[in-house]
Amino acid sequence: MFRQFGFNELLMLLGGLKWTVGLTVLAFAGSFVLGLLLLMLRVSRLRALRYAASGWIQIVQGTPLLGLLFVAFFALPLFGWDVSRWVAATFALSVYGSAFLADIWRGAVAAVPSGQWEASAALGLTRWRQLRLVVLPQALAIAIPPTVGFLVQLIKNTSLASAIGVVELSREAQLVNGATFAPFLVYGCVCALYFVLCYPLTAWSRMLEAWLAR
Amino acid sequence: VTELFHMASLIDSATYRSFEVYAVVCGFYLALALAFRLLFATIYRLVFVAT
Repeated sequence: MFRQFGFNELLMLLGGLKWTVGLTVLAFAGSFVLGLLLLMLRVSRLRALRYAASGWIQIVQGTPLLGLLFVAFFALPLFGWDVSRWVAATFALSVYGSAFLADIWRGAVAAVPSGQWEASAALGLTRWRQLRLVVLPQALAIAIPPTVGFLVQLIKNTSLASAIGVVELSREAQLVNGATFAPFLVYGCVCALYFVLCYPLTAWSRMLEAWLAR
Repeated sequence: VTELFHMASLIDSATYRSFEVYAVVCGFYLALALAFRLLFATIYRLVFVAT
């Protein structure tokens, strides 16, 4: 006899949701740091650095996240670095996220009028201080809504980590489904949980956009 | 669905060379993405950029 889908099963799914949130936070933090680094390279004055950064972004954006996850999971141990599924998933999602965030932020930096660069150069600021004191604060306002939008995508993409055996919401759903054989109910609940997680962020992103456009 | 990743997991379970298999699969996807990028860039140049 199969288990009935009841309150306990819902609690198991909520337990999975907790790890989905955890993985998202870790992946976003990693994407943020790596993305900032890539952005610095991308707006550098040295052509070689710019090309290296945009080449890297091309490579990451041209490969599916599932592939990145598998490659991270199987490649890191080859370099003698025996990592857990969690580290591999966080690493792959960070690499993936950083390539997109760096591109989003580069767009935001490019949207700051070039007169701002010139004016701050005329004040004798170094390139680094032009970026930090004048350009980035203005780019920040432009960058926030798409960054929150990308965070929503990242939440949904953490479901792919179930492929390398990270027990987050999607993997937990497979387990619960295996025990209850009620796929419609289980995956319905999972979709609802993802929606509950993502919709407030989407609404917030839209609010920020309206507020910044005022 | 027997698309690229399904075939990859079949080959993976037959050979146990996980990294090599998935690295090659990623290479395929990258090649596809870059090929389409080139294609559309060419179309863009032909159609929208006045010569």
